[in-house]
Amino acid sequence: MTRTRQTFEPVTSRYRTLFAGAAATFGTGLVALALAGATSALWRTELTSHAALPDAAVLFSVNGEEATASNPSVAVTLGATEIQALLDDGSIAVPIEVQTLSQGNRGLRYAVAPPTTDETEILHWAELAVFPVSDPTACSVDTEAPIRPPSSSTPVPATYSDTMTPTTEYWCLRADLRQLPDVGEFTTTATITGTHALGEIVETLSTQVDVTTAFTAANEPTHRVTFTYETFRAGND
Amino acid sequence: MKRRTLALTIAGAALTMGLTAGTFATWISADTAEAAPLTFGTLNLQSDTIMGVDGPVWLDASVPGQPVIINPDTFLATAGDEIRMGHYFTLDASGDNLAYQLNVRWDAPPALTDGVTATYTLTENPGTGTAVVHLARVALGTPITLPTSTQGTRKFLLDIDLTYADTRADRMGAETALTDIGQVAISADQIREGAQR
Repeated sequence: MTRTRQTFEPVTSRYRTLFAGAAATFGTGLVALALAGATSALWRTELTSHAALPDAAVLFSVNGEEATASNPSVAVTLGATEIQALLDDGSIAVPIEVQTLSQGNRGLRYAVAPPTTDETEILHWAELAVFPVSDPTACSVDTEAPIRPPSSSTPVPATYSDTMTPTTEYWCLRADLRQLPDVGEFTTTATITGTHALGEIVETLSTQVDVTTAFTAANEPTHRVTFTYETFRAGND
Repeated sequence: MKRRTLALTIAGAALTMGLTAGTFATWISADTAEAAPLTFGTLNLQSDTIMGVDGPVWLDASVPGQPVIINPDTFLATAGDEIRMGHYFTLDASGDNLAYQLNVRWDAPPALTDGVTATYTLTENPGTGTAVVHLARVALGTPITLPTSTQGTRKFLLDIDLTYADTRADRMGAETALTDIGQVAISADQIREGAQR
């Protein structure tokens, strides 16, 4: 038998389970037991007790997407829209909201892993940084990324907690596009040497061509900035 | 929920420490209440004070040597927790030819969540040199009936241990589950003379 109750304020409307738990009870009683065939009552005195302990809850949500017990990672994706903006504007800034909660005797920490890229991808040719910010408005293309940003956070210590309010932190993903390898000017020069009645003629011709990139946002794979949480007890931090 | 740190003030004449019943023996008080009279004698169970609590006391015993009294209704348990309940009680019996049996049974069975193991121990005269462990760390829900007795006053400790495995999966989201110890009934049942000896 498993009963449920709610242990923190709903983050989304799907958490609407009403409290259905049973309170701890304790009682005492003295009763007479009438046994079949007995001519007089036998006595029973008894003490009763009951309790049902609720589980502590854990929440790890990144931009509204929640981790599960079987998958502690949530990814923020950079798709064609973001990559096209990077191509068009040269810079992008993506604010990220992380909500965490860990009740009971366990704390919560998480790590941030930037996407991996290779040189066939546009994002590979961008300066990329993921770093914490105080609020979403602090994440813009004008925001300077710190030189050595942290790659993890411990928002919930391992001391006992029964809070129902998640902790909210913000991160910023910044990308500044450097020059793509196949973009720029291309100049070709040809020299022609011939013989004329007046003598030898040497003519040099130069042609300059502007080269646009062969990279397109449509060909870019989806990139993932991965946030992975774990809970821990005191002494394991 | 506010938790209060254990105050090691022991009311009355505390019994000497013993290990047969675990740490609860340390905090057992010798105070007992008046027994309820019967027409032809007395048969009574009465909870005693343990750690300042009259009745079952619940502890978060996760940190060795630093138990904290908790309210089981509101304490939020998680992987790695060690939760203990101690219920110290006195059985009084008097009357001509009054024979009885002490029973521990479950009127509603326990319902544990995944990753939780639960056992109980029943000790007589806990914390004394005459301690008798009638049942040690058996699965919660296992009933026991002690041999028929006519002994007048006896003291017992029922000790429940809940262990939440450290590898237990996190409970995600706002919906949680309850680890239910069931409806535990401790009774002293009069036995007709000559029966079940």
